[in-house]
Amino acid sequence: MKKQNNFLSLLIGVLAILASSCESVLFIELEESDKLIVMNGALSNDSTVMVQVSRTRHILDNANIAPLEDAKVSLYRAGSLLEQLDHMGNGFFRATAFHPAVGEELSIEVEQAGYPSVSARCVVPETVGIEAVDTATMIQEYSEYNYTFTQESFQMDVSLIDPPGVENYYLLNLEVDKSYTSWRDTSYQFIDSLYHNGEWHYFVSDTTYALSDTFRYKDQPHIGSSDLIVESITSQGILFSDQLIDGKEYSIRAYTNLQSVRSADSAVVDIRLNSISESYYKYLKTRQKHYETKEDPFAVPVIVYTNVEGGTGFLGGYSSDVHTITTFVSEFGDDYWYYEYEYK
Amino acid sequence: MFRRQILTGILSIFLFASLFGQQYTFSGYIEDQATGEKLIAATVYDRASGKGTSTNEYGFFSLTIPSGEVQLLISYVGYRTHTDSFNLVADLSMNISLVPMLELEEVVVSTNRPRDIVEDVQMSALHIPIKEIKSIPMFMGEADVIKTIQLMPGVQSGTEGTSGIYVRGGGPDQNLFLLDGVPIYNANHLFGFFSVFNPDAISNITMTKGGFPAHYGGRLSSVVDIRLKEGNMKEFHGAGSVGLIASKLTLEGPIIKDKTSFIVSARRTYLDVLARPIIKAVNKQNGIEGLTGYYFYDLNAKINHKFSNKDRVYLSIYHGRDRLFINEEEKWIDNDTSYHRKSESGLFWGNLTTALRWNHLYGNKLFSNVSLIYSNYKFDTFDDTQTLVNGKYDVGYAYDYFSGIVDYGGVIDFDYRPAPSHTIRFGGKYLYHTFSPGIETLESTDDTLSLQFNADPIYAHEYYVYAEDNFQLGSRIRANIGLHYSGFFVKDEFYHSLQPRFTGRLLITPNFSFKAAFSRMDQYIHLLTNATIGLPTDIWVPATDLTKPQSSYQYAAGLAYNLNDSWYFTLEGYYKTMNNLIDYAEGSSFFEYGVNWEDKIERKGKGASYGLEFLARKDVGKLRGWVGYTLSRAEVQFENLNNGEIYPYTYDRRHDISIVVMYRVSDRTDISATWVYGTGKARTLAVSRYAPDNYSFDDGNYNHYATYYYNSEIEYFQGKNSYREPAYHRLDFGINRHKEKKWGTQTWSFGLYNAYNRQNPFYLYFGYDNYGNRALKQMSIFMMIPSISYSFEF
Repeated sequence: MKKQNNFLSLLIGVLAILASSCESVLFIELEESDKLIVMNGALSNDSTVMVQVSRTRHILDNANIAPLEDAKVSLYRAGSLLEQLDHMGNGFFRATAFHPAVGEELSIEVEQAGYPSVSARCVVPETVGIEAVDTATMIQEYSEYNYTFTQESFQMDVSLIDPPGVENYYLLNLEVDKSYTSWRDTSYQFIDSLYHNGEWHYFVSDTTYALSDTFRYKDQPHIGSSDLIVESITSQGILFSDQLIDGKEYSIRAYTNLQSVRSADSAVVDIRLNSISESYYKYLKTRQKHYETKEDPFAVPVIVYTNVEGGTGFLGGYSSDVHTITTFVSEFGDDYWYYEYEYK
Repeated sequence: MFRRQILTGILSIFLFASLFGQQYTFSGYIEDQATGEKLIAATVYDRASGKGTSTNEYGFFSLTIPSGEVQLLISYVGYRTHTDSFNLVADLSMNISLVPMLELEEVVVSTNRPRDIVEDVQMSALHIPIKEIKSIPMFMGEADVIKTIQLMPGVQSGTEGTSGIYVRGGGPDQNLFLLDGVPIYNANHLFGFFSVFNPDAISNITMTKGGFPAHYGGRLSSVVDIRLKEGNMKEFHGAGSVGLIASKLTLEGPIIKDKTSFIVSARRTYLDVLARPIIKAVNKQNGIEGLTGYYFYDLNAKINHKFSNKDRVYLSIYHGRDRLFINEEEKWIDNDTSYHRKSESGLFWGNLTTALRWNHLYGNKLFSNVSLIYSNYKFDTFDDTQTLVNGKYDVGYAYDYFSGIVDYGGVIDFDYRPAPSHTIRFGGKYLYHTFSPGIETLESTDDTLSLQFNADPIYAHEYYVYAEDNFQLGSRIRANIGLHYSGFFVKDEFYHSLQPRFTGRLLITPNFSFKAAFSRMDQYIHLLTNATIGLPTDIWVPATDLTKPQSSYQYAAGLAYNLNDSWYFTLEGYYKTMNNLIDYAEGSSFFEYGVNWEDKIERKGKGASYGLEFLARKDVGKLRGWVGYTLSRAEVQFENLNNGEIYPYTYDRRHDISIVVMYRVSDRTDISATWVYGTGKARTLAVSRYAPDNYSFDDGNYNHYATYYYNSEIEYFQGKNSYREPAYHRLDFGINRHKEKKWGTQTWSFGLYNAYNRQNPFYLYFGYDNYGNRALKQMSIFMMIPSISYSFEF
């Protein structure tokens, strides 16, 4: 990034020298684009069908993008209407209880007055099981600016056998259920903070906790990987396909920060190998690339994949195999204080 | 198999030619009487036999005609016609000098004579007279070869002010620039605002954009063949100019009169010198010592020696370089520790080319040209930082990014003229390429860090052989049929192709002709370009085992009409297919450090472009100029771009208009004006935004436990290149005032670029207006710019 900034400075410098007397900025009109329905949803065989419906907003419109809460959302199987989904708030529409079966094709149509109707279809792919999981705690030291830092990470080797002859797409991620007991006074409020991209973000809890309350904290920590088959690291996990491992047994290595899978008492860690549909894979991959490059004027813009006809968004499917481990901290120690706390 | 086909083809041509070998041959060179400069495409005509020919690009002609009286008529635009009569009783070799017309009597300044345009078998070719380049309005007082070419139909310009050309829907890499036969890989100075070709050192420019003769190859869309002057054989002369941003000087003359001549031409900008006090003052205000600047220079030199009438040797050198530098020093004290940081960063790019050429005559019908050529293009950006802490050196770091291409090679061309109705050419070329497509190094001064990425160059061998015959069939039909066979060895991979070429002309009336052409072209190198401004960051890369060579088929047909030997009109239609195009993958960019170029591209792109080009041109009289109009479409398709759907190519432009008017008010004053219009560029621009999955509409945040993107709306694009920038148009004026002095001629040139102050788009970006509303903003540079320059010739 530093080099890029340097180059930009150089370029801007010479252009400024050349054109400082004749540079001007003009505001130009951008025609109103068609308003489109946005449908996003990933259907799974172990959860009720649910999609989120909203609308596009003109790029120059200052208003927030908004959900379409009055939309008519219909779920079809083999061309037959199964049910109309109910709005649950925040643009989410959910079926009464319907769980899709692996391998069956479903389609969802969304209608809303004033917008072109949209539809999309998807199939929940076959589950590919986790064959084995091998974990390790890694402690690495590194130096920067004459300081030595210690980095602790939790490493996972997740083995799978890729079914041969079919294209498979995977999303590997973690879900952590932490529990611990607070020893703080009830008069203080709990604020969680997260440092990201040079800024602190604070999450103020709604509750004032009592002394010795037991907390449960669910998290989906960020995981990384430098494995050769990994194609994208998204906020929802690491993404890869079987392009290089078709029909083979393979052990993929991933890691996360040690503290994110530990707790003062215990943490239940679900290692989830999600078999995802091609549409879900393409959506996640292009969306990630889109985020990474949309502020870079030198990058080729990334058009996020859509399989929603007449609108945009995606409808994908996934099925998961979960391997659960429980981590404990044997002794109360500083490790516990990964998150910062402030008290009022 | 291919070798046998080529051999059969060549033998057939020779057998065919031998049927015409029973006459005497009159041959030689046509040259300028005043300078000895060879005249290219001069007409040699025998009125007695009705036979004629023209000189080749080395000024050589050969005319085989029946014995007996010859009524010779030799003409060349801008020169008095030479007439002579003699009795031809044996083969005769003779050099003929033509006398240049005085400025006053000059009625034609162009090599584009209407009658020649109609009669010439070649279509889709443009001859650009140097005088014309200096006559039309100049940008910042600098006459520019490429900017003149941009005014021709079928040729489009890039971003505001830049010198890139896009020919018949093709990309910038699909144009072969040859300077004395040597490929030039980056023809831009100053990020493309000027071309590297110094008009003072150039004698002739020919641009071919379709109907390629077999002796050209290696690019899909055009060949711009630029020939340097050879130097005055008779007298010492000079020319120069002083402009707003650059000055240049050209000197030429005999070393041994009529035997050896030289020409040296140099040009340099002085932006860095002019801006130095201002930059120093600004830096000082900010507590920084140092200097920032930019300059470019170029140098052309050529020596020409005539050993005999049959043997001549030329050595030409071109060297040009652009350099942008930022040198900074900063001192500060923190907690009783003194720091002194020194940094040097910048970038430079440039070409070095050399050609050693030997022209030889075998008898009087066979002319040969043998050249050894060298071309070296490099681009380098660097950033070195060193800090002294309490007077002692701390660890410093040096970063360097380098890309380039080096060619060594040889060319051999034969020009055989067995009869007036046949001009046969054959020959070949070999190039040894060394590609360095983006080598990065990062090193520390204490040797604890030494990293290199993409350090291995790629070596490749490229060659071609060709044969063509330009022949007459009866009085109305003329055709040029040829074969071009090329090959490319790279990374244990061998690519080759046989490329048929055809152009034909049917003379419907003496002033009206129909022409048609077909050509297949193959290109073994690609240019990875990520910006529409002419950044030198574009990287030349070879075809490899993964990345296939580009190829195209082009079909063209057209009409040419001569009106009273004063105006000519051409109307041409073309259809061109392109295969194996490459482009950056979505999300990729030049600035992805440490990533191999082959990992950031999309391959196997298919493209098609088609269009109509109209040109009405007048090169005679006081009022001269042309009107050019192009209607075209260019589309491309990649499997992994734009969801696999066809989209407008970056170089697609629906309408393109150029109007050029030059008027000689008196022998001392000429004025000119140009107006250009072009449909806006195709761009990929977001038109809407929308929510990703699991979005929380309450606070605008991504409703997910582990979010890393707090502003996580997705931008919606209707498609790649689906947005059109506002149209580009501009009016320029120029006035030249000439004055004869005792020592020579001086000219004051005044120009007005963008006379009605049109704000043309240079760059579009999203921002906010004064009320905090989102806005699409357009950066425009180069509004109305007056210019003045002074030039002289002695």
